[in-house]
Amino acid sequence: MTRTTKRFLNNAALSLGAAVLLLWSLGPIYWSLVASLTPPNALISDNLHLWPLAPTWAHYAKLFGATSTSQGNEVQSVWPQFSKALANSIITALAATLVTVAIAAVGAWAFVRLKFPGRDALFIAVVATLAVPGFTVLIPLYRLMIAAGLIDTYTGVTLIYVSAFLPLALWLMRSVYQAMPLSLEEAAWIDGASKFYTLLRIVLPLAGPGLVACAILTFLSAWGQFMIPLVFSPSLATKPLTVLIPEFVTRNYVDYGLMNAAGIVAILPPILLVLFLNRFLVQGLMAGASK
Amino acid sequence: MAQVSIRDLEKAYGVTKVMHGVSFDVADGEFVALVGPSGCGKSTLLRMIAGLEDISSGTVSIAGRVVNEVEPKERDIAMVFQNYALYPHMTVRENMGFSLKLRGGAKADIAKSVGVAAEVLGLTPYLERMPKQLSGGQRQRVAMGRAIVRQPAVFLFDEPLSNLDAALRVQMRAEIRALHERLGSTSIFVTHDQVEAMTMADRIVVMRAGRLEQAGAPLDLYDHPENAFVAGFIGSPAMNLLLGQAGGGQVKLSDALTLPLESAASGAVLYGIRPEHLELVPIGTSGSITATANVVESTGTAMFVGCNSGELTVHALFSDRPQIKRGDAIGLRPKPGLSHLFSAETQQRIG
Repeated sequence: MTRTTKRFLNNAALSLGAAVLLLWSLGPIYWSLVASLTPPNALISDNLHLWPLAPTWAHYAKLFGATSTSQGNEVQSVWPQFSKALANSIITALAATLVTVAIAAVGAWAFVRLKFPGRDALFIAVVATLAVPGFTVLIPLYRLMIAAGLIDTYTGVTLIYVSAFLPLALWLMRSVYQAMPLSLEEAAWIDGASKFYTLLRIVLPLAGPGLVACAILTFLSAWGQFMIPLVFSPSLATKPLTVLIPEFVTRNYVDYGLMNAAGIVAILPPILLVLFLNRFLVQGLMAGASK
Repeated sequence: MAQVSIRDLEKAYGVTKVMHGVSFDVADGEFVALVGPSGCGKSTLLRMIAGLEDISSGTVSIAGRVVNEVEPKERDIAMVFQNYALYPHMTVRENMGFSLKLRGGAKADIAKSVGVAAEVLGLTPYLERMPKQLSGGQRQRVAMGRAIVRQPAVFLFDEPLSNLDAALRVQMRAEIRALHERLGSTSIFVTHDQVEAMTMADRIVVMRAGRLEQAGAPLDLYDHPENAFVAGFIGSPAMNLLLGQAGGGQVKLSDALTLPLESAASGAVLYGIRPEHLELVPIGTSGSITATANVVESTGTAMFVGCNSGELTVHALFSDRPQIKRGDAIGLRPKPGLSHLFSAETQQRIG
């Protein structure tokens, strides 16, 4: 086998692997998009098409529109519910992200730079909670939330999200700070900065990529949560999209088109956020700090 | 400007003691080099003076004030770090003006001070650049500029030249020394390179394993090392230190080799002679070492010869380019009055 054929085969194998991965991750999204554009009767026909023969915006119209008709009956608009749930999703995910990143940014620094008894044991204990499956604490947590009067409140859901996602964020930020040369902070102290000012003006700007990674991770995790809001967000006061969309299943009719249209819309905020934050994931920010 | 006093300084990490009572003084305006092999505690000592490291016992005084419990920023010091520690997200101007800004200086004053320091260091064209756009030598200068811009009482340097290439290091050596003269400030300079210490410092403090071995002017250390460690550490190439038995005005280095001694010492000794204090003599000359050259290195200014005499290894340095080839037998005679004698047991100087 010549070098050229070898290289060709290598490339072919690599491309094939990439294609399989892409199909695996984008396939369901594509199918959801197709379903959201397919007319209701075609959705339940025997021969499905990779692209609808007669694409329709009907499902989106139903989602965003006023009243609509389905099987000859007038159906109430879902937009009030959908928009409320969309807002709930955005509010809880953003709140969880902001609180988690803020605590992780300061807390992880303390775990790296401050010396206090039991520091490492405490950190291990925090990270170890990652190993506790969420559903095992669901019932005690529910009682706790009732006692605190936090069921179906933004505060309650946000608190649960923060407690669930903070350990990972702390872990990530800790390794970011560990990789940062201590001499930078020492130089700032000698220059006359307090420890907090140094954290604010020297450390955090340089930890930007780490903070952005934390924010993206936390936001996506919160956005995709189903079980927690299913239990703790019983009403539309805080119910997010993940819980609302499955409710489009009614007793005698599953509105696949509407569900998929709602799903496609629900994908957009996280995509926009990742695209926006991605600009701050600049590599090489640390270059030039030393040597 | 200020003098610095170190008294009985000790440092322990838990039960591990790494510094065992170090005391010395740095006079106002003096340039002192702390030198020693890695792990000797010189950087730790500097960081204790800076306030970045806690003091286990003893005192550090700056300008007559004990600063053990004083925050680094209140000590009126500036430090240049080994890795420069420039703030990567700030321009050169912001890096240099950071300390003045923190003190609430007026914008115009900061700009003026930074401008003056940049002029001194030749950084004026680079003020708006980021650290990553600078070469190693320029970053080094920015780190110095950050230190001088606020005119501290004491400058601390933690191996600032070790990341530079050889030519630049020699240049920066002279620049730092010139800057010191110009500012008249007190400077403490940590290095593991005894050449840096010898060339830059008014006084050298040699440390080993958390202890002060000897402090003195560079040439005093070179001419009169108080112990075998300093003798071997100061000077390049290093002094020949040969184990022998002294007695009756002679030192017996091996069965076949006995050299005359100006000292009346007796017992086990280390006989020290610098490579440049050995002269080439005809083989068999009385009081000489007969040896076989097995390494001959010439740098143009000097010729380094490594040779063996039986079990002994002796290094010699000649500046007059003698005709020596590898394998030649040569006679080497210590120049009179230039040998050193240390007790083999205590390693201390005895003659």
